[in-house]
Amino acid sequence: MTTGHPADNDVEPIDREDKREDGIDERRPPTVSPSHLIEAVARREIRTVVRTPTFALLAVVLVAVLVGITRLGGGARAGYVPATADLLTPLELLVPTVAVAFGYRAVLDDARRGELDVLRTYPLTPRQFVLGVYLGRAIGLLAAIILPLLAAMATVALTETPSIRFYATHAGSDSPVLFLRVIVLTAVFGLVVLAVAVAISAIASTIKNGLALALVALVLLLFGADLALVSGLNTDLIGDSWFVYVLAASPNSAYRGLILESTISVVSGTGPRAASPLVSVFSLILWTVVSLIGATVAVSRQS
Amino acid sequence: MYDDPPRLRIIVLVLALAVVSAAPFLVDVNSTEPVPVDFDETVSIGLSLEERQVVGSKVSVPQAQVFYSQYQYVTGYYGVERFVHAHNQDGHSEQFGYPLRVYVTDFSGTELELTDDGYPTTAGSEGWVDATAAAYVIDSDSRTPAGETIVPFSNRADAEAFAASHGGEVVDWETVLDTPVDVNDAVAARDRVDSQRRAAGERAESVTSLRDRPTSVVVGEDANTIQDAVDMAPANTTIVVPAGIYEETIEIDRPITLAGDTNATIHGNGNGSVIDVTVDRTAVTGLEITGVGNETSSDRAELETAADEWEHDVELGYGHGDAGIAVVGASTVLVADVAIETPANGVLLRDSPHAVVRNITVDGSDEWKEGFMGVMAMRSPATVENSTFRDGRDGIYTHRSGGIVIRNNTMINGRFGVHLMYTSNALVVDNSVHGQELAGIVVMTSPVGNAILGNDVRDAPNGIRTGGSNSYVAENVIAGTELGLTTAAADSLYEHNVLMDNDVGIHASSVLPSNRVIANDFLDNDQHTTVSVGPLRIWTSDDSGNYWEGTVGSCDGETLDRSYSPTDPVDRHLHTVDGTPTLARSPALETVASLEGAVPGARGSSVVDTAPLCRPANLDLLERANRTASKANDEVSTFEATP
Repeated sequence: MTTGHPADNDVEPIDREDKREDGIDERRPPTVSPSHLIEAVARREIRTVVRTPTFALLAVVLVAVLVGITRLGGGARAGYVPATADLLTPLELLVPTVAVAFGYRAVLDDARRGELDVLRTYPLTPRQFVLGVYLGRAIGLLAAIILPLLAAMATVALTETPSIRFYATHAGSDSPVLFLRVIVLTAVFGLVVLAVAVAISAIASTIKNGLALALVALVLLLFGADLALVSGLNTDLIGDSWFVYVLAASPNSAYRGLILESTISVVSGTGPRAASPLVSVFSLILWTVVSLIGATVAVSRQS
Repeated sequence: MYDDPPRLRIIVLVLALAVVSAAPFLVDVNSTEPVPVDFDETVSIGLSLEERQVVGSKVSVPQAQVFYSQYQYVTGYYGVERFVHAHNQDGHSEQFGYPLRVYVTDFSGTELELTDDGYPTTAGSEGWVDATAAAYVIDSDSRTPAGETIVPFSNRADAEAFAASHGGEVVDWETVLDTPVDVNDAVAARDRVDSQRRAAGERAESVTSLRDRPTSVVVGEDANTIQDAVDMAPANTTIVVPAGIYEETIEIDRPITLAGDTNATIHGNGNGSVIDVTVDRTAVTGLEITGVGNETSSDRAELETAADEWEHDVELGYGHGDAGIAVVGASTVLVADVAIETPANGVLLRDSPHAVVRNITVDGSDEWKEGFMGVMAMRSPATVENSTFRDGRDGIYTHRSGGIVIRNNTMINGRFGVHLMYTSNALVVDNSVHGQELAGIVVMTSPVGNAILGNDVRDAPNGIRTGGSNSYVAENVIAGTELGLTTAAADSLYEHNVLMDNDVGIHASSVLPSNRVIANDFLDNDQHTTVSVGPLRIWTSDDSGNYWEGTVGSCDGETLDRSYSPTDPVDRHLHTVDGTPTLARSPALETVASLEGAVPGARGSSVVDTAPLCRPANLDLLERANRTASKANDEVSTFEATP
């Protein structure tokens, strides 16, 4: 996950304290629109992603893993919803990992190599910078998540469901539309984690060990949040009637709940509500927005 | 304002993404209406083939066809009440999902009448109506062979008219779903075992009293031949046949007891049956019978018995062969302590209910294709017990002998040990079936309510092949077969069986995932379980499954915390390939294992036990199985050694 820069970690951020009073965007009047700037940053990020073979490799590995699980778990023969059930847990583990891989060095590397300081000479606000970085990386991440899922979907579509010829068959509630929902939700989940990763990256650029911080965040996200929910449930901190809403606070649980509500429950019928979709979506948006604001604040602190 | 194409691009991009993302959530995946199919194309349940043959095509049994959210086949129910019963079963929705759409037979405008038996008949052909839109008549006089039936109409006025003339009450679908339905299910078959055993015991005891009749004639002293003795003996007396060889064939047409002393042999002329019994309360005991004719079927076009048309050929093919003792149209007959050597049937029972066949030995042809049945029971619910059937075709063959009791017999080296045809509610219990050429116990023609219990089946290509539905298969030991047990009988209970040392323990063959398979022990089989095409079957009930040799996971009281799938590419090798237990514990496979039971109905062709047992469930049976393993070997080898 290097950018191919020869002196990746050796270069300390160059101290530009002396120029700070100029203020980035007040030094010159804007000759280009903020959107142009965001797009420029995004294009630069996409170039970085494209030039880093590790990202492509990640996507290829993800294709192999998802297609493998779809076939091994029997989902390929059974249909889209069984395949979803098989993939749900692996996706919960893999998508955050991949998203963090895409995001955790985004700002950090720029800071390390001093490119932040170079960028600061452009009329670029921290907000535009963070948005650009996020957009660029997001496009890369989306490709890395959606393509493998499409491959898994194709696996299901192309694997024939064995059946006995003289009986009439029907598809039940199973439908490719349900798997498209999974793809959309997974992509959204990836984008949420990416925002967290970018925030970590921005904060980490102010301290030494960004990687360690990213890993801690990942573990917290994957296990900590849900474990906290478990203890909350058992110690009466969270009322039973509130639980389905509090559940959404953990991005993983929000994602899982949305998948269950919008695909698996469609087939298996009634039962206790898996999630409150509205609150879950709200939680995911909140995580994204707060993370990006956090990243912006962290970047501007360094400016 | 400056020109800002990038902003436009970003806005368009975000909007496009939003629309594309929202689309899958706005589509209603259940919007397409399934169209009713031809009932013959459904996976159907509710009537045995015998019942369907008996009512024929003239009777219109009300039907339901159901499209389930998780089950790929359209499921057909004979009788709306059968659907209601299935719908309210525990675990039903887990396996099938919920009904997306139910269609029921529409009797509106069909000139519906009831036969004297209460069976519905119509003038035209019935269509289908959405179950939620139909009106139903419950508690009317309407019947199917399986019992009271609910009659659906698309038009409520028609339902009311029907109720007015045939009784009952008009209700809607919601009420129908809440109607308690009494169906003779597998649990009923299990609960019937004790009473059926008791009834058989009482019947045997009462028939045994036929042995206590006073002696009236002694052959050789009072009469020259046995037939002379029969002709002169008063009713309800005993004819004694002293030791010796009697070359004759005998017809018994009066209620007497024919009792042979030790070494009394009747040798027929090799043509036809040796003893013909045509009268109630006859007993034949203590004889050896040889010289039986070798006809196994009849080509007579005229049948003296009034058979239903559909079974005409079956009767000719199976019910009129030669026999050591042929009992025809006689009830409550006793055949005991008789040894028969025969190229055809040993004992033929036709239209002879309540017969007791006890402690007989039948030696059939060495080649099963040349021989026939040890006991051939046609429309004769009898008790066959404590007997031995060697060689020949089938030890016991039944045709429409509902309620027959077959217990404590030994079958060796035939084709099938027990062969049930068109026979429901049979009790096949405590038999030893060893070394059959094709299969131990075979059930065909979709009967209902059979109980197959406590049998020891070994050394055959197939152990027990079930069929039909609502059956109880329990406490059997099946060992040394190529295929131990099939679960072809649907809606059935398979419990406490031991599957040991088979190539395949159980072949999950029912297309409907409605069986309960629990507390069975699988040991030392090459493959514990294989599956035919069909859905995933969960072999766990009330959080308790089966014992599978080789399972991994930690024991959590009675059951393991890791599910086991005998059809899984890794799990299936756990008990046979070193190293696979390590592989099975990898996080990747653990994850897959934990999810194997999810959305079961939609999954194909596999078996999962979500709570495998830590220890074998049937230790007594296992111990006995190991003991009989050596005994069975002795039995077969001793027998094979004798000429």
